[in-house]
This record gives sequence, C-alpha cells and structure tokens, in this order.
Amino acid sequence: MQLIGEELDFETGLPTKLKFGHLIMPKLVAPVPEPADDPSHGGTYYHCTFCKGWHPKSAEMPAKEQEEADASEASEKVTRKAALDDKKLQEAALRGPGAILSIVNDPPNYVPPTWVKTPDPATGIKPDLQLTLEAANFYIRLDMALDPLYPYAGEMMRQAELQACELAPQFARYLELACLGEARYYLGGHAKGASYLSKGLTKFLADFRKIAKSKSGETNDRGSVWGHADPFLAKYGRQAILYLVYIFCKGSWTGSFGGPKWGNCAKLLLEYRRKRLSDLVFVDQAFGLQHNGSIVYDKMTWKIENLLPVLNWNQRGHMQEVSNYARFELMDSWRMWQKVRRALMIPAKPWQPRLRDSYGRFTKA
Amino acid sequence: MIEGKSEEIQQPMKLVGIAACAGDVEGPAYWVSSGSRGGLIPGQFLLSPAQRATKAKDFPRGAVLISAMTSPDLLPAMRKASAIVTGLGGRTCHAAIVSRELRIPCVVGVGRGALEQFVKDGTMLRVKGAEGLVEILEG
Repeated sequence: MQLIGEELDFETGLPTKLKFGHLIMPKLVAPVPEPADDPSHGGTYYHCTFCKGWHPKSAEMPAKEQEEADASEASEKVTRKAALDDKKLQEAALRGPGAILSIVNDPPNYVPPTWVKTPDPATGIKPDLQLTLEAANFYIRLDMALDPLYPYAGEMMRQAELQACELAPQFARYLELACLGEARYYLGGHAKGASYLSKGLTKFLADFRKIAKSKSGETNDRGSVWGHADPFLAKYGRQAILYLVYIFCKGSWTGSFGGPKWGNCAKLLLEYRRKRLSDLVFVDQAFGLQHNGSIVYDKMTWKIENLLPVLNWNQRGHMQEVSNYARFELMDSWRMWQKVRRALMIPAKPWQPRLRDSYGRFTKA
Repeated sequence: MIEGKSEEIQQPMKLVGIAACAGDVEGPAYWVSSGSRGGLIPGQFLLSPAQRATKAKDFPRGAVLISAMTSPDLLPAMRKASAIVTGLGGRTCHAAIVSRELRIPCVVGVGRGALEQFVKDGTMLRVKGAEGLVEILEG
C-alpha cells in the first residue's frame, strides 16, 4: 500500500511517516491444521469457542460448550428425523391413503404439568408452573383432538381433559387469592363505594378490613390477605366471590385498580364454583383473563413469558406458531400429522423428469 | 329454446369459515365487538369497554352473536345466542370451545373484513355449523 506524497523506505518499501495513524498490514498466517485431520492424533477434537483452539473430546468440556454441542446434536437429530419422515411419507403417498395413515406417529404420552410437587404452604398454589408451555400443550392437544381425520383424536382429547383437570383447581385457587388481594384497594380509598350495600356486604367488608390489615395495622397488605384467606373464604363460601363481583363491577374504581376486568375474573371464578363450566372450558377461558395491565397470572412466580403471543396466535388459528412453544414430543407429533394431512389431501404423483426445450426452458408435460 | 325472461334464482350470499360446532340456525345478527380493544361496531361508533359490556349485557336472546373474536367477558352473551360467528379464529379459539360446550352452532374465521362489509345489526343470517357456512338472507 502506498500513500500519495509519501516517501518510501528503500529497503522495506513502506512509507517512512504515517500521517493517518497506524497502517495495519495484513498479517500472513499459515493455516492451522485441524488436529482431527492429523493422523498422529488418534481421537476426535472439538473447536473451543473461548480459546479458539482445539481440544480432544476426551478432555472435560466446559458446561457451556457441552450445552452447545448437545443442542447442535439434538438439532441434527431432528433434521435427520424430519428428512426420514419426509422420505417415508413420499413412499407411502405412492401406495395410497391407507399407507399414509399407517405412518402417523403414536400420540406422545401424557406428561403432567411441570411443577414441583409440594405446593406453597401459605397459598396452596404450586409455584413452578410454566404457563406458556401449558397453554401451548393444551391448544395443540385440542387441535389434534378436534381434527376429524386424526386417528388418535380420542386419546388427545383425553389428554387435554386430564390436563384441564389438573390446571383448573390451580387457576381457581389463584383467582380467588388474586381477586381478594385486589379487593383490598377498595378499602384503601381507590374506589368509591357501591350505591347500595346490603347488610351482608357491609358485614363482609368489615370482616375483610380486619384480615387486610398488615401486622403494623396501618396499611392493607396482600400478604396479610393471602395469609388469612382460607378461614375467610371458608366462612363466606361462594357468597364471598359474589360480593367480589359486586365490588369490582358496581364500585367506581380509579386508576388501574379493580374495575370490570377484575370483575370478569371474579365472574368466571363464580361460574366455575357454581359448576356451570366444565374444567376444559374454564381453563380455556382462564388462560385469556387479563387485569388492567397485563395477564392476570403475574402475582406469583408462574412463568408467563410469551403467553400473550401464544394465546393470540391460538385465537387467530395460527397453530404452527403455537406449536413452537409446546413440548417437543407434542410439537413433533403435530408437525408430522400436518405433513400427513397435506399428503392425504393432495394426491401424490410419481416423480418424473421435467423436459426442457431447445432453449433450456422447462416444458409442460 | 324457451322464450321470455328466464327466472333467475337468487342464491343467498355465502361467507365461508371454519366449522366449529354443527347445527343449522336462522336469526338476526347482533354485533358485540369487532376490535380487541373496546371494539368498533361497523358504521356506528367506537365502543369503550363499559359500552361493550352494556351491549353484551343487552344481547337479545336468540340472535346470532357476531364478533371479530370472543373473550371471557362475552360468556353471558354467548349463553343467550342461537349461533356464533367470528371473523377470526381457528378450531381451538374461545368461541369454538365454548360453542361446543353449549352446543351452539358456530362458524369461526369467516373474515373480519367480510363480516364488517356485509353483516349489520339485524341482518338475517342462516348459520350452517357443520359446513362452516354463513348465508346472508336479507338486510
């Protein structure tokens, strides 16, 4: 490289002065042979992304490296399986619909919702629920169950109902506590009183005021409400939920407290407690409940990242996106079934070479 | 060749969607909401959540519930409806699941734009749940 107007060193041919900072010359580096190619190394090697060197696989891999290697191996496995499935499907498509249906994967076994087995002693709620995963699993199972062509539709419906049976009591318990917790703002002056207070409701509010007081006795505290919720709800039963509906819907709430959205939560809970909704419908409706800011299930440690997009995709019928969030076996089974379904709908033609004309263009057969 | 005017048989206009629950029902359409936030009734006005709740509360028994999508707060109205038609949705949306539970004919995913264009409050509809068809009879 020569800079215009510069003197060049006679021996090296480089400019003697550099006006514009350092001149970086390309460094010639001899290619590093991969140890795996070298016959003197017996074992296989892996390339370390941290030190940029090669290490024998027998040496202990760092945890992150191990994870990456496992992930790439798993993705390779999935790709290989998908290619194998495609090949099997193409072969079966030529033999007819019976052959196509014969290669449908068996339905994956039912795996109960992922939570730790011991519920939180204070609330009775199992704290480790992955709600996004559960929602995706639930709707993918339903989608397969409601497909008239799917051969294992009955099994899938059984699994969806089983899942709903396990989720419904947790949702109901959560909604009870969350609604009670929100109703404490009614006492704190965030809502003007309802126009008519019956004797029962007045007594309910007086009792509720007692349990909502924090230990210091000055403020209304959610922890305190949750701690005393059981005896309080046992005393009032379903009537407590009815009072909550009244408070949320009839009281004029200010800011982002209470109001009709919480009223909807309490109404749905009341319908479920009155046994007017099946577990399946209750769980479906409960997934979509929202309070004034976001999804209603953000008061505990349940994992709700990406729950809203999953629910929106489901509402719009975009099950391909929903399947991305489901359990792997379920996703795999659903995708395989979609391929089979497409093959059943479109009659297969044996492959034929495409003819070209003298200009090299494809011609119609 | 037959002389004279040929009588044209007018076929009702059909909107095609996804069959969610079987059953044939005729009834007047009643819009509940066409938007996810508040809701815009076509050609009328933007609804606040409170107005939307009132409209859902005043839902006439036996009418066909029309909405872009349904949400849990529409459950009481869905109980009163003779059929449900939604603009968006698939086999597993709220409307489809509730209609199967209540055994109400339901067609989902008809297309929000088409619904807003052709269906107004009071338009007589025939909903064919098994085939996923909504026929516009008059209005």
